[in-house]
Amino acid sequence: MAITASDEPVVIGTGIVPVREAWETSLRDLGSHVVRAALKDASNPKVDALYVGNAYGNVLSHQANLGALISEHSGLCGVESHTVEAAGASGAGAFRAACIAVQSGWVDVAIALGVEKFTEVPGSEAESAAALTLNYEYESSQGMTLQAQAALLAQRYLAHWNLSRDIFEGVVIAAYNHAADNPNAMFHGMDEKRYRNQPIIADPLGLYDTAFLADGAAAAVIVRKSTAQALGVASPIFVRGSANAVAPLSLHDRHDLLSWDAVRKSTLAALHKAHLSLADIDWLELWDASVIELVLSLESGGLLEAGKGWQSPPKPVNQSGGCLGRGNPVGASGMYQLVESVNRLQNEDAGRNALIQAVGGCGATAITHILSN
Amino acid sequence: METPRHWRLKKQRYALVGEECPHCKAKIFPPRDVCPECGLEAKTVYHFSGKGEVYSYTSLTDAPAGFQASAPYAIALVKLEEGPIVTAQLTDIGNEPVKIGMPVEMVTRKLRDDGDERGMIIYGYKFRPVLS
Repeated sequence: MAITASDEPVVIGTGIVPVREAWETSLRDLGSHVVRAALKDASNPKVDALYVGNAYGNVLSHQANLGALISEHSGLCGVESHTVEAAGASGAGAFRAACIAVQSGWVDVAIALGVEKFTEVPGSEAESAAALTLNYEYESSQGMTLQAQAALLAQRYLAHWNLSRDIFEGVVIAAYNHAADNPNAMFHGMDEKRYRNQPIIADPLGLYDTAFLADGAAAAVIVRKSTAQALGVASPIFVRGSANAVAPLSLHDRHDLLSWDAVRKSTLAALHKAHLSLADIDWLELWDASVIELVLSLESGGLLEAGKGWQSPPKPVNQSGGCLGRGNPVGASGMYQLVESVNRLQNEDAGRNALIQAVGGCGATAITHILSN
Repeated sequence: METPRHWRLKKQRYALVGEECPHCKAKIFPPRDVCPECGLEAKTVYHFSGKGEVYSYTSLTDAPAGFQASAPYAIALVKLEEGPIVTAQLTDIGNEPVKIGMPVEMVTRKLRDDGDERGMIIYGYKFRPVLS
């Protein structure tokens, strides 16, 4: 079966809730809520598949097999469903699974869901759970955490380029201030005084240099272009490119700590699939679970030179506020990036092409999508 | 806690036993089936000296479960003199400021316990400043 242009995946509906500490609701309810919202937005097509992006439900909610759990609770009994896990890139992985499914012709209507319920347990248990995405035998068993990984990258970066931690201030304040206009964000603005008074959590990174881990869910309905036409959808958003690339999981196994191979390969592969170059991209949403991750993504993705990833990028980046400003519901964050970008592209003044990238596990797994209106 | 799993890692944890690639002679730690340098099969046992230098470091106050008794602690990427980098805590540093490039050597220390679950204690490598 040859794949043609009319098989191209498109997004025809979205559902999203603000990122927050959602103590009053469960993993299941958060997920099904946005699934139903996305279906309603897409005028309730008949669903064939639900792909669930989630990183920590197995541990923090003691719950596996989320596909069966959430589809039943969303009124979708009998569909195809399973979980996609790739740490912070889980949501983007679910989106890619949905695109592959519809473009192949094996599925007509797919839902991609990102859902995370992080605030179910006390701090030290949550820290342990967060470290689940590290190499257990050689990193987390040594007492390594997500924040410490980011700090090790930042420390090496500052030493390598002979810079001070002051370079992070502008990047973080920009993220928080971008989030001021995002109704899904936990945080709405940051001033220099507050930033400078932050406690240092893992030298050289402070409290605001790493995104707050929180709860959230976002979903999108994905079909082929031809299906969207048959359903009478006026202005779908096109998924022009999609790519996933990995690097060694452990920081200590990378040949070059400061060059993110997965980000570089995933960016180039997604652009290649879309027949576009970086020059054709109007704006980007890049991964910033910590400030250094955004700096390295900007450099490895080709937007800024090595050693200059903290400077002002040549195109708009993370107008949503990113994970830093929005808060980081890890396995759902990739879907927040995508759903917010789809919604922004509905407004044609927002530009034509957007590059959206989520990264799981401190540079280990990078999943990139190119969206166009 | 998973007894067989930690038992299985004892040669690495207690003695930094890794591999030398029989094809390209790269030194490999942790050991694995495929040499990360040349992509061929790696199996030859190699004992690392335990000498190295700090490649990057940080200090943690928010420790994960099982590690709170040690907090705050310094954790580092240590570049072994044979080439590979390992993740490990720094220990016995007193008031000495940690610096990138600081010479360190492997010692065996308690890594964590299992709370009061079964009384299991995990020992393994940490690195301390080289005693001159």
